[in-house]
Amino acid sequence: MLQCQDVTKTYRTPNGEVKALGDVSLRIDKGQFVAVCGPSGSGKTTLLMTMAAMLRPSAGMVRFEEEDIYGMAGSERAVFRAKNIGFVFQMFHLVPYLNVLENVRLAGGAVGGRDGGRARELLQRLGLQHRMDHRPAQLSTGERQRAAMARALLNRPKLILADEPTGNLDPDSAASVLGHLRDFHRAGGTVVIATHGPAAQELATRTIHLRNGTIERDG
Amino acid sequence: MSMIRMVLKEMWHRKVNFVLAVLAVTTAVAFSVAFFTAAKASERETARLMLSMGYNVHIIAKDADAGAFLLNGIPDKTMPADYLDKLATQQSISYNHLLATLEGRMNWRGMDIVLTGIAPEVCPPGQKKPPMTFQVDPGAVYVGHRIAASLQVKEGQTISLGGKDLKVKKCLSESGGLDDVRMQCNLGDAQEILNQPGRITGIKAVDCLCFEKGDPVAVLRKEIGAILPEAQVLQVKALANARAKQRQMVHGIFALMLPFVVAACAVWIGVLAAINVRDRQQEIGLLRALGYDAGAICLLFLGKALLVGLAGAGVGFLLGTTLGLTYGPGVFEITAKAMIRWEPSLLVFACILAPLFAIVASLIPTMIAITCDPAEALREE
Ligand SMILES: Nc1ncnc2c1ncn2[C@@H]1O[C@H](COP(=O)(O)OP(=O)(O)OP(=O)(O)O)[C@@H](O)[C@H]1O
Ligand SMILES: [Mg+2]
Repeated sequence: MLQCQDVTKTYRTPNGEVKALGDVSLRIDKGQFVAVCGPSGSGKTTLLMTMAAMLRPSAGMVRFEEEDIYGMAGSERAVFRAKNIGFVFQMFHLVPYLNVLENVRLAGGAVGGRDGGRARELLQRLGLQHRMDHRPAQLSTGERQRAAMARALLNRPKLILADEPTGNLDPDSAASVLGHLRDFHRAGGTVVIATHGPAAQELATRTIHLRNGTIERDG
Repeated sequence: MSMIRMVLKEMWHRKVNFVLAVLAVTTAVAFSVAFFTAAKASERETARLMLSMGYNVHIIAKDADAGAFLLNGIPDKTMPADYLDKLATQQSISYNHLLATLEGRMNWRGMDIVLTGIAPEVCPPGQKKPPMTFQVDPGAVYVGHRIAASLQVKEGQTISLGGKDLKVKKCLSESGGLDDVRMQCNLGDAQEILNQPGRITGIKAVDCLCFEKGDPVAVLRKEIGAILPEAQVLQVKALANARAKQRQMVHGIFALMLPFVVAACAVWIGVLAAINVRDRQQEIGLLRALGYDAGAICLLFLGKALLVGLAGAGVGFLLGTTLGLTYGPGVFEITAKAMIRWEPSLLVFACILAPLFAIVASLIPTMIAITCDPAEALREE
């Protein structure tokens, strides 16, 4: 489904270049639940962003269902991303001035999904039916992450990429978020999750260990 | 959800940023509107004063006795009527409105009167101004107050003047000056009556008060002297000129300050827009991540700039008009209150320029945030 081929990412900073990924090659097949582990700074976020068509690698190629995603034009890639990939961020990234329902529906805007029914249904499923009219600032962190989960699920993506989605959560909220990822996986979805926690690794069908921007262990 | 609703929600959410941005536009617009409102009123008053004072440049024949002309208001020599045409075809000269006259004393029914023949008023090319005096049709005559009162002349009568029949178009109201013993008719008729075919005694002009530096009379003499060597120029220095000078000075100071104030506001708006976009960089990153294209995101930010601009234009126009009406007359020495009024055309300008201004200021930070990778924009600072 998704293939990284010799992906290298170098960040340019005023203090010199930082190599975050070096020649990473991997393929993720449909229906996998992949945990990406590794110490802080090992390149997990960079790898997920690159796979999510949100960060152009310095070298190498990323293919999604045999299509070179960085070969597309920017606007084409944006629509492709909205249609195929759901992303859950560690920092939630909810729009502060929109309520929960509007935040979830925002994901449909770019692909013409204006139907509010599915957003409501997802929020209900994630236990936020009483919070739809609230602003993100009025929610607990666990609730925020579930709202972000609902947003990632809205367009029925083929792949969900989650960057430490439970990193800021208490164990109960973390379990809830992981439960929803598991449900998505059971329903046939593909999941890649960057994580430090053992709980996610238990769910995973495959674990990739990163160190200094390279794959240390895969399996 | 539509982008416009998002714009409104964001503005409501970040009220302070919105209010400050509107304030910046308001300042720029208010200052400009106050300036132009007062300046337009000042121009109108200058024109009105000039009108009431009469023409302030007299061109008479070179051999005419200037002293006698000053003494009794009538030149004692004539010059060819085509002097007017020569002047009127000149480009870029420092006067507008040209009026050729033929004047002469005569005795009518035992009374000494002045006969003034007036040619249709002309403007130099490119200077379109409405006529300052009335036009006199051939065969018509305007009768001064004293003549009409002493000799029982009534409107509508036909009178004979030097053998020519003229119809009294109007008996003029009292002026308390030479006009009361004046009859005014068409130039052609006067040439016939006074037996001066093809001649005029003077050309009156209004200088355009656009002298930046130097002595206006000297400039006029030089300009006119080059075109009409056989003429002399007299300028009526009047209160109107003093006022006009004062206005020119204030005008100059404002004109100098205006770009600075507007530029300061532009920087202010630019900084606010940049701060707003920076604050919202993650939002831009998120929208990009969710698949929104650059156009939609631009709409979100430039839509806000548009609303900021329109709000600032409206408030600034009201404020500027109020300031202009309140303080304009003092600053610009406008004595006639009726001359100063609100200028709807400025509202139209403000509503076009202010949003444009705000949009341009927001454009650069927005474009920067849009062109980087979503992941870069999403990164926490
Ligand atoms: N924008 C950037 N500019 C410069 N260096 C960066 C940038 N983003 C990441 N890096 C560097 O790239 C390396 C990998 O970063 P990345 O965020 O991918 O790590 P991570 O595995 O997600 O870490 P964590 O577990 O702390 O989230 C780090 O050394 C980091 O300092
Ligand atoms: Mg990370």
